This record gives sequence, C-alpha cells and structure tokens, in this order.
Amino acid sequence: MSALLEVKNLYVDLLLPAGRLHAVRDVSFTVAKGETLSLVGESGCGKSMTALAIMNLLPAGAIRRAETLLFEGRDLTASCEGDMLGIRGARMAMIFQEPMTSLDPCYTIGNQLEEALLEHRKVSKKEARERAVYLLEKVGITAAASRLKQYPHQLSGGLRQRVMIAMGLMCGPSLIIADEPTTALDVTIQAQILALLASLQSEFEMGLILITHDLGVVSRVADYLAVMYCGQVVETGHAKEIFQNPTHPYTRGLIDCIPAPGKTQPGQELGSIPGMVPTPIGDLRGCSFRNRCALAHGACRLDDIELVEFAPGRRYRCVLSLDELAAEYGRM
Amino acid sequence: MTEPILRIEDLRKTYLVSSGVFKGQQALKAVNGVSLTVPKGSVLGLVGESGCGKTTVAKLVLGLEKTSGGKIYIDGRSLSSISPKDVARQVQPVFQDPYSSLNPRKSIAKIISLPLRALGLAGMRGQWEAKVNEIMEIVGLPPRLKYNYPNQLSGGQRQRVAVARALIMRPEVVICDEPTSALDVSVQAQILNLLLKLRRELNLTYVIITHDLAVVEHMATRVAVMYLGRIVEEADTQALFAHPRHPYTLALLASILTPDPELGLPETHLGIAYPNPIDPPPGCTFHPRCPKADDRCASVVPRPTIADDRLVECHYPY
Repeated sequence: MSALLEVKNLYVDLLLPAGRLHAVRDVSFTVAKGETLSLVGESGCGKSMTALAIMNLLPAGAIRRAETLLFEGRDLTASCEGDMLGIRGARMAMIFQEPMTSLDPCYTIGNQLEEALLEHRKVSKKEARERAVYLLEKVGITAAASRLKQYPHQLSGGLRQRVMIAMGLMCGPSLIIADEPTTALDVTIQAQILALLASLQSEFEMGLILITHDLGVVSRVADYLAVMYCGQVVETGHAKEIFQNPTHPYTRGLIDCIPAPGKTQPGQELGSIPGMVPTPIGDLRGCSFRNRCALAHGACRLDDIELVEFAPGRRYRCVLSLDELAAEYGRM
Repeated sequence: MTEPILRIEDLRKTYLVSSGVFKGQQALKAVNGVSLTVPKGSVLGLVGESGCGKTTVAKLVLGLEKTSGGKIYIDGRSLSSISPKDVARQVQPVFQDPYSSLNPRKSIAKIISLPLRALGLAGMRGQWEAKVNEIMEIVGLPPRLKYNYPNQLSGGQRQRVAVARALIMRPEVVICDEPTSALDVSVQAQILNLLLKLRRELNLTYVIITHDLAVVEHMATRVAVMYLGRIVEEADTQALFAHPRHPYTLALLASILTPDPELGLPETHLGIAYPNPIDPPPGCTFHPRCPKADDRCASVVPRPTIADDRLVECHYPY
C-alpha cells in the first residue's frame, strides 16, 4: 500500500534566547491508510513539535527542514500557506489534548462544527448542519440536533472530546493527528474515546498519528510505534514486537516504570529512569540518553549514533549491538 | 483494637450552587455519608471519577472546608475540637499539580520550611535550616537547590519539594491528591518509589486519592471506591482487585490500560453520562449506567452490607 504520509529526515529548530533548541532531529516515518502510528515519549521529547511541523503550525521563529514531507503525493515542504489552508482541516485534521481549552467558548458547538465544512467545500448551511448531526451521532452523542445549539461549557469533558473528534472528521480527512486525546479524561471515558477513534478510523480508512506518553494506551491501539527521546526516534517498529522485546534501554526503562496489576508486585520498587531529560541546546553529539542510561560507557559520547535496522521494519539507535544488549539485559 | 490514626464517621458536605439568576440555590451533596477507618501505617486508596467527591473528602480531613455533618477523628481526637494548627501538625497534603501548588516567588528553602514558620516552631534560622537540609536529603533533593525558585526545577523535583514540605512537620497522615497525574511516567515511578520508601522509613500513613487504579494497586493496602459522594465498595487491595463485587468497581478495573498489546480496548458498558450531582438518579445512583440494574435499583436505595472485612453497597453484588 502506498504511504499516506511520508516524513524523511525532519528537523525542527527553535530559536530561543538561550540558543538554538533542536526540538526534532532527523525523524522519519510513514503512515499508510487505515494504520495507526504512535509517537511516544516524555514531555519535551519533540512529539508534539513533529505533529505541528507536519501541519505547518509551528510557533513563530521555528525552522523546519525536511528531506521529504509527502502527504497524498503532495510535497508539503514546497506548499505555501495558501496550499496548507486547503489541506489543513480538509485532508488532515488535528485533535488537541485539552477539550476544555481548544473549543471556543463564545460559539455554539454547531457553529464550530460547520465552520470547517463551509470553509473547505461548496455546501449549503443545511448540508453542513446535516453532516454535523450525522457525525455527532457517529461519535455517540445522543440528541445531536439539540446539542448543536449548546456552548462548550454546557458539555462535560468526555462530550467535549467527542465534539473535537467530530470536528476533525467534518471534511472527511484522510489523516488524523491526535495529540494526547485522552490525557485530560477519566479512565472510564478514556477507553470509550479510544474505542471510538479506532472504529471511526477503520470505518473511514484514515491514517492516525497518536501522540501520547501513556504506554497503556499505545499498546492497545497502535500498529506501529516510534519512541522518541530528546527530539530523536530511538526505537521504532511494530508495536507488538516492541512491547514483547524492547531493544533500546530507554524503551525498556519506560515499560518498567508502569505499575501493572499482575506484572509488578504491589509495594515493590518500580523501575525508574534516574535524572531528567536534557535540554537539546548546543552540542548534541553522542547519545542523548547516555547520562540516564545504566549501560552507558565511553563510546556513547563520541559520535552521532545511526538508527539501525536490525529486523524488517525495526530500528534502534544505540552504540551497543543486539548481542551486547541482550547480554546486559540477561544480567539485570 | 488500638485507635486508628484517622477515623471518619458519616461525613457529609453540601454545597449550595446557584443554578441561574432567578432560580435560587440548589444543594449539591458532594460527600454524602462517608465512613472510613485508616489504621496507622496503612495506605488507603480513594478512587473514583472526577466529580465523585474524593477531593472534597481530602479538603474536609485537612480542615480546609467546614463539614456539613459527620465526624472526623485524628488519633482519637475530634477534628472540631482541635485547633487548625494542631491539625496541620498531624495531617499534611501533597497536591496534584506541582506547577501551581508552589509559590513561584519563594525559594525552595522558604517553601519547605513554611509549615514550621507558620506554626511558630522554626526557632532560630540555623535550626530550621538544619531541618530543611535533613528533609531535602530524605526526599532526594540536592542541597544546591535550596535557594533556587520553583521555575528552575523539573516536574519531578517540584513534586519532591511538595513531599518535603508535607513531611517537615513529621505528620502522622499525608494526604496525596493525585500525586503523580501531572508527571511523566518515568518521573511518576520515581515519586511512587519515594513515597513507598518514606512510608517504610518514617512509618507514615497515606491517603492516596487518584483515578489511576494501577497506582492504587501498587501503593494501597486498602481501597475505597467512591461514586457520587458515597463509598460503594471498600476492601483490602488484594481482595478488591482479585474479586470486585460492585459493578462500578468492575467497570473501573476493566478500564485500566496496562501495556499489553495482546489485549484490545476494553468495553466497560458504562455509557458516557456521569450523572448530575445536583439531581442524582433515584434509587441506586449508579443504576442508569449499570448493566445489572432492574426496577428495584431504580427505586430502592441500597444499604451498605459488610461481610469478611469488606463493604459493598449494591442490591446485586457479584
């Protein structure tokens, strides 16, 4: 299947008073129709910046470079803002993290839902309204027609997030980027929203980029996984394989951090990654994870480390070879 | 049996909420008859969805809100009979968001020592400084951060500051309201490990309020599940996780997403509608979302039944 979105060697730099911050470094991935790619990592690892770079919504002063940024065969690096206006919202849509703050409190739900469709397609107000009602019902909102007249503050968090999803789907996009879509929600509603996203995705054959720090969420919905650290992808591959056999020390650390009923013993010390994420300013040679890594040694600081393919579709970024890593993990 | 460190009897809190300009006020029963017993050295996990009243319970125990009814006993003494300063000596909070719960204009040493100074126990500067140094070492904060400000610290370090501030009084009970939900997973693990270590070393009692059941299972010795201001199930952690009896507990447990790619997304059968607490459903408040509900649930309020050291409030428990 041909790729819906192809990103190759994407870089994003932010110019800050303290210096040039390398927010995204050499990130490459592809998303095909009907597939879910998950970008995972801690806050500040560049996962949201990657999404914003694709949408060309980066903050002022950010610099984007990419060898390839192909979306549905169009080169986004060569697209001007006018072209992007035609693509954004129509062909690719974004669902933001905070349903509380990303809806406009001054407009009704109906107004906000219909806006994108009226902007992008030649439709009448009536058709737009029908589409809005249809989608609100699709995302599981009852009495959809009467909801259109309501304002965001009249809805609960779960409902607002559903409205956000419906809004993303209004123009029938082929790619959805969901940035922490369930982080602000209760656990009970989280499961429902994720199930909803997954079913809509298969129904409309959309590509989905799911950005989250919650490995529990990732393991249940993602087909492919890219683990990011300090702006770089440190491990990528089939989600299932990565969970069964994490290769990079960081991925392993992340998975060990989570208390899981049945796997971790109550009260037992959880695995944790000491220290904190360095700020990617200045000289970034060597492995960015080395000062938090239990397996770090002298070679880690020397040179940039390549993302190496070691099995079909699986890549990792570490100076240690697979055998060395396996030996280290065996000893732990 | 010795007196538990914290005992709550039939605690109630009603807020009056204005529902419109000409509509007058309506009663919102945020906490509606909660009884809990927390023995010394144990960890109680209080779980439930947002709006179920778990944070209100915390505020009442901390003396930050006045109760509308019921009694709170700390170490056998009624909360209403002791002064707020004495309450602060025994019960201390750790709040959810270390970005907003620390005063950005005070240095770390000032923030940590505030409880001492507020209670007039600080003494000479040298004395409280020594205590600050000691507590910073216990929670794993490097001493060089003493004269830094909160904005110079990472999320995990800030939460350590919050823990240090809570512990400097050597309280008996620490109430942790969502202590890790604003933090990254790797940092969450550090803070949970720290809380466990401190409990062992200082024989602390925790009340941990969270909606993350995986955290509760890891930390708590006993769990209370709250729904619309009432405790619908309470049991020892192992018993509750192995054999949940209330349908709501079952749904909560089903919605934990552990990292397991073999499992799909769970179906909780809950529907989305968390009921409006101003106008709670008649009968069992959970019945509109409950897969087992029938006519009896819609009309008769279930009473708590206690058996085998566990409580459940349901007409048809599993």
